[in-house]
Amino acid sequence: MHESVLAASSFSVQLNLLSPLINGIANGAAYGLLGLGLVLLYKSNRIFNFAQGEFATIGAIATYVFYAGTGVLPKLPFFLAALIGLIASVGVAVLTERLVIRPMFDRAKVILVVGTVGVALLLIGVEGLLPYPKTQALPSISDVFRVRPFVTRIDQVPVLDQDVAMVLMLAVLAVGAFVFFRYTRTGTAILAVSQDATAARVVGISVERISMISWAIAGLLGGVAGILLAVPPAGSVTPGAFTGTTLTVAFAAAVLGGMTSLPGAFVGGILLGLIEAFANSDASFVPLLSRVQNGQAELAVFLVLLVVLMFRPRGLLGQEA
Amino acid sequence: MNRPRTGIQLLAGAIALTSLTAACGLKPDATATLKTGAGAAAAAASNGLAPGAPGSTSTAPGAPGVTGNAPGGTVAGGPSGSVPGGTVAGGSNNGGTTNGGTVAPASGGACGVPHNGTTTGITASTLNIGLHAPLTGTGTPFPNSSFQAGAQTFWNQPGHTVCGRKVHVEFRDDTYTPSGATSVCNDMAGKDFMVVGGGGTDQIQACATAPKIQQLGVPYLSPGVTDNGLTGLSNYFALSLSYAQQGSLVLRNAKQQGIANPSPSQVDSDNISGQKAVWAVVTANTKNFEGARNGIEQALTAAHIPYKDYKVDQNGDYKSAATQFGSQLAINGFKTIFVDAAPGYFVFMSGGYYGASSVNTANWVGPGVTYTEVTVAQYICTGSKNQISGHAWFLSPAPGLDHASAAFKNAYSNKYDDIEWALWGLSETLWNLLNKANANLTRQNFIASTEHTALPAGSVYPPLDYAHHGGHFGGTGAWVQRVNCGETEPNQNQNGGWDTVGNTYLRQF
Repeated sequence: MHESVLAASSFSVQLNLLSPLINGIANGAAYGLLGLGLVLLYKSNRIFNFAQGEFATIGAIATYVFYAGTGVLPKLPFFLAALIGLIASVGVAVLTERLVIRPMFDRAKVILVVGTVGVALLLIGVEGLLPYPKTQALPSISDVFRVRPFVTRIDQVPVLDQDVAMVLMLAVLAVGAFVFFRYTRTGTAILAVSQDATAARVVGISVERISMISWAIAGLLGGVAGILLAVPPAGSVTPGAFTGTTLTVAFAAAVLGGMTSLPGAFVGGILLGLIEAFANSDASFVPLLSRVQNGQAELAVFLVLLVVLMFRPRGLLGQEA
Repeated sequence: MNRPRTGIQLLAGAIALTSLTAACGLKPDATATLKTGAGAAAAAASNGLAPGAPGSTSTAPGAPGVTGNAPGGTVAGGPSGSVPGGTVAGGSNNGGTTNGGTVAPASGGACGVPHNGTTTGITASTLNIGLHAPLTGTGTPFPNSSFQAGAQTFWNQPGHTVCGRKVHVEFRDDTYTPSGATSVCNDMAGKDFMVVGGGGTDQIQACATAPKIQQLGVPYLSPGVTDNGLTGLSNYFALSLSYAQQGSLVLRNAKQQGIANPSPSQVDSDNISGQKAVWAVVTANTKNFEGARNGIEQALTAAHIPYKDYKVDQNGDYKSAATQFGSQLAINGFKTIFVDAAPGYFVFMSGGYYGASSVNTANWVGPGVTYTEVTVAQYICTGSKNQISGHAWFLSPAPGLDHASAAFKNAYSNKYDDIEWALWGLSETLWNLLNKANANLTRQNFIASTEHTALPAGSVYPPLDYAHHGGHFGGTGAWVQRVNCGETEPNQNQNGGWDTVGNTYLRQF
């Protein structure tokens, strides 16, 4: 009985290099997209937002129901439906800030974190009650533009349109967010509030307004992530899908890249995706690893995270805010 | 300035701990959406009109007051008639309240007064059955309320009583975790006459071996899944073929459909040296799936069909790993793929396969039970953009809804799905087994009776024969179902479902 998880007993460029490389970058982009929102709220509010995955899910669901015309809703063109999806994500994020975060703003941060866990569980429950087809998915880029689903093939391994779009979007958002914090007054104000809310208030910054803006942007980032991730083959508009399968890894990616660095979310996400993909690919050509059958991806992630945090506790690109 | 760092380190510690536990094979419940599973019963159902079944819906045991006549006409009777007629009142422990007196006879034999045994969950007018299945929780693979909604329906129909006793089903949500199953089963052991597993291999195993279930000798029944850890349990009964028993049937169906010998892949086979693998055998890398793996691999080797064995890790978040693995199966050129792992793993793997190749068309085959649930069809249709339609063939204790009986449809007012159909078949089988033991409805006598029972095909399930197969794994055959992405089940609002293949089940025994 063969013991390996994937095929091949000798090194294969196709299976051991190209396939995990392409899959890893694509999966990493997904982690990075969710990680961006996490970093943003950590950078601005100093809290870990466990509801970020549901901001993504809400955006995906709203997009789906308007795109498909579920129930009495009108059937809209994709980009109009996506716009509604983004508005829904931002709306939920702003409501979270107003109803959960702001009333407890002066409490210990850990209470706010627990509050976001409560929001995530509440949203999953509400999504479960909504009467829409929960196993469906959003159309991919190739479906929307009616083009072939892959940009090219490298030694039979396809490079999907959707994956390319995700990587590009992630890069644009990471750079855009970096510029926002570095060069705009609002971005600077967000950083000021995160460092010392009282001092920021003294110099005329509205802490409440800044908090709401931060959450709105986090909702927007979540919505973008949801719309790009809820597509076949692995995505769907199932309640809690992103919280259950992607959020934990996105947290790890954000920590790896640096919780205070927006480009770090990009780097951490891609890096983590690659680590997972190579760990999950066939390693039977390596005598020792050929015996490993369980948890190799988790183990690899853990080891890399451990090493990085030992030698660079703030993450690869993190720095004091 | 130190607080942020402390926070990061705390979060990093939590993530590292999660990673470590996952790497060690422990399954944090919170990461388990679309996780494990193999499961279970739900799909078990199916409908009536099993070819050759003596009667369809009317094969059910007769109404109270009727003597004689085994249900549906058959077979090796249990000890029902051999138990001395009753004089003893009440049961032996745990709240049994049987109060003696004669009870109207049912068709398995004359109804007697329960005596010399445990009668927990039984009164003169009622009989309680515990049923557990996944309903909520982050570990639930495919949340579906049909288990709960349909649990009582069969027993609410006129005449569906046991010696005049009204049957009450206590449904409990096991949250799709072994610990959840153990908890609810320990509780039900003290209240219900028997406990039935509705879904989840790990949960079925956990419940069957739960301390109170064992200590109190509670009859525990479930559709056949793994035999790991269940073989040798005196109180466990599989109501359909186990995974291991289904291996040769999977191959037989593949031959009948002309998909057993496709063009070979690019990968060396494990069983025939010098040949490329034709089949990929994909199973979860746990003890619970060894039977499935061994069953199909023995059948393939006997048929001289080369295969490649893949044991996949479905601990933790396997979404990206399963998708990646599916794409590599496509790149390797596999066209017939046996799969028995978590339903979620199958969903992502098949999605990855079709994402990597719009040219290759694989045929996916495997044993029952969970894969033939409508929700699985919906997810694999979505993930493959319907390319999988007509190309996934899985066994089930029940035929598809296209065979649903009129009695079933009427009972559900024509708003039903295949989980409810499975429950209908499961309930009918339980009814027949209970009536076989109705001369003395104690837990001990029910177990003894069932060990010696054979039942003909019901309106849903194929025949059961415990009497000639060791007493506890009584499945004799299985239906074949094929995915159809173009259909919508009556109470579903999304496409995807299963069609019965052929008009008869495949017989194993």
